[in-house]
Amino acid sequence: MDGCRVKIIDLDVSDLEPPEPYSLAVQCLATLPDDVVLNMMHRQEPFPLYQTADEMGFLHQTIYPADGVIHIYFWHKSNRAAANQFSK
Amino acid sequence: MNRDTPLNFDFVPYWTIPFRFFLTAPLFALIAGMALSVLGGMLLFGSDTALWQSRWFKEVILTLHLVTIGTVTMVMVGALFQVTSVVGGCLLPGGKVVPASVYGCLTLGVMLFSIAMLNDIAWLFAAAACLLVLGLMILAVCGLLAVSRAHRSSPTLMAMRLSLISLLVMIAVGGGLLLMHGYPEIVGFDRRWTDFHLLWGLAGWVGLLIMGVSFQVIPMFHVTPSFNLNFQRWTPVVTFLTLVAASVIDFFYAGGAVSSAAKGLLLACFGVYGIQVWRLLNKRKRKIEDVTVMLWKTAISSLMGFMVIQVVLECGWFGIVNEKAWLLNGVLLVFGVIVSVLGGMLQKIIPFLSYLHMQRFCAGNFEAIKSLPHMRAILQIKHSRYFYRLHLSSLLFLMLMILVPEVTLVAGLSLCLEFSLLFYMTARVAVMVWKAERNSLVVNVP
Repeated sequence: MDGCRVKIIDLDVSDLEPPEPYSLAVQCLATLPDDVVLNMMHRQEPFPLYQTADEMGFLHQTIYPADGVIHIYFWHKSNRAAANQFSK
Repeated sequence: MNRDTPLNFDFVPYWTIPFRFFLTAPLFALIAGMALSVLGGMLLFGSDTALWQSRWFKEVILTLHLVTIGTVTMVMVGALFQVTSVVGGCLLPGGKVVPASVYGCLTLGVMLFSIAMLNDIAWLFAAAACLLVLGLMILAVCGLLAVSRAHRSSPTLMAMRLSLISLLVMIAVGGGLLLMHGYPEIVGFDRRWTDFHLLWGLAGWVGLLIMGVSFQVIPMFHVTPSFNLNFQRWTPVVTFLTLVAASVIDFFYAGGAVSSAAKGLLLACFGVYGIQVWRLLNKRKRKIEDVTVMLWKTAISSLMGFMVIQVVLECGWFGIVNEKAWLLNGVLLVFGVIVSVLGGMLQKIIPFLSYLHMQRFCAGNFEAIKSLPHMRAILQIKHSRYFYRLHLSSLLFLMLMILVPEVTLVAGLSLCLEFSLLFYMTARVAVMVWKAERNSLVVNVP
């Protein structure tokens, strides 16, 4: 993935117990600039968050790398550069 | 690799479904506590009642079933409705009718069972048997259907499947035993079925479900490494096969060396599982004080104590105090192991579920989500700590009660306090969720 095309903010919640990852992610999403992508690192898929993020106007893509930490990228529905980069 | 899983929130059961079971469960333990207090009072103040002499006495069967069906099964059924959706991605079939039917049958069944036991009314035994068998049969069949339709496979689902099969065996035999109690002259009474029923109920239905659910909730709630995948795959299967062998051998060759060896193997399965849980809990990333962890460790310590006493019992070294040792072991297993685990799980599941539903009521409104209470404020830590202390005192007094029956009154009062607190904690959260839902409805009405 080409990280130069869009600005990415990392949020590592892999050491937190539920629902702290959810609360932190919602806080980050609420203040996320339109042209920035949130990269959430978690040990499992945050299913409840997906629908909330959708209702807040975000799209997401989940990536499972080999290291076991799941990466979930969230971006504003209006952010076309991010959509082009992550919705492949 | 991309694995976008479609999310469907229709797969989360409506919040009152698990909560009605969680709210009712402490009430039956409270009734058991009241029954013990009355019995203890009678013993202390005049009556020549002889308590805790044999497992076949009424007071033992009554309090045991108030706790195992009224409390333990009630919590497990509530959790099952929730876990099937989370782990398998699908709800139990039947909409709201199935939980309502199971809840009605279980509640009424336990009440009728208690009245029948206290008053020796034959037809009430039959009515209780019908209700309990019907309610649990609906649950087992719907649960097995849901597990077979699950969107993904997992060791937890396999353990749930084996647990539900065990439930079917347990209720078939349990229903028969109730009829034997009510109509012994017609049906006859074969005590071997009691041990068969106990094994399938405690090791199968309860043990395997706890095992399967823990594969999910321990790494999730305590931020530990996952259970080894082969361990997850094989432990429930090996335990189930050992249970089949142990129960059949014990039925036909009770008291023999082969029967003791088979039951020893079954104990070993749970012993290995207990050690694995303890090991994982020690690998928590954040070693903060956690009542659930303390309850898990209480459960595993009780399990080890149970195993030691069971080995001595099988060897016949207790001699004339055999019955007392059997009852003491029953307290350790049911209250020390099972109630500890379920009490601990509730400390996590109740706040998590309520948070999940309350954030759904916010419908993506950040300001509303921000105002939601934190997990540790939903279920207050000080309440959880009191619950744990009361649970330890109840366990100690219940064990002491078997050896010194005069302690029965204190044990009963301790049980009443513990489960009054649990009911208050659960009810407080239920009111919180109900208010959040009502407020969301007010906001969303044009």
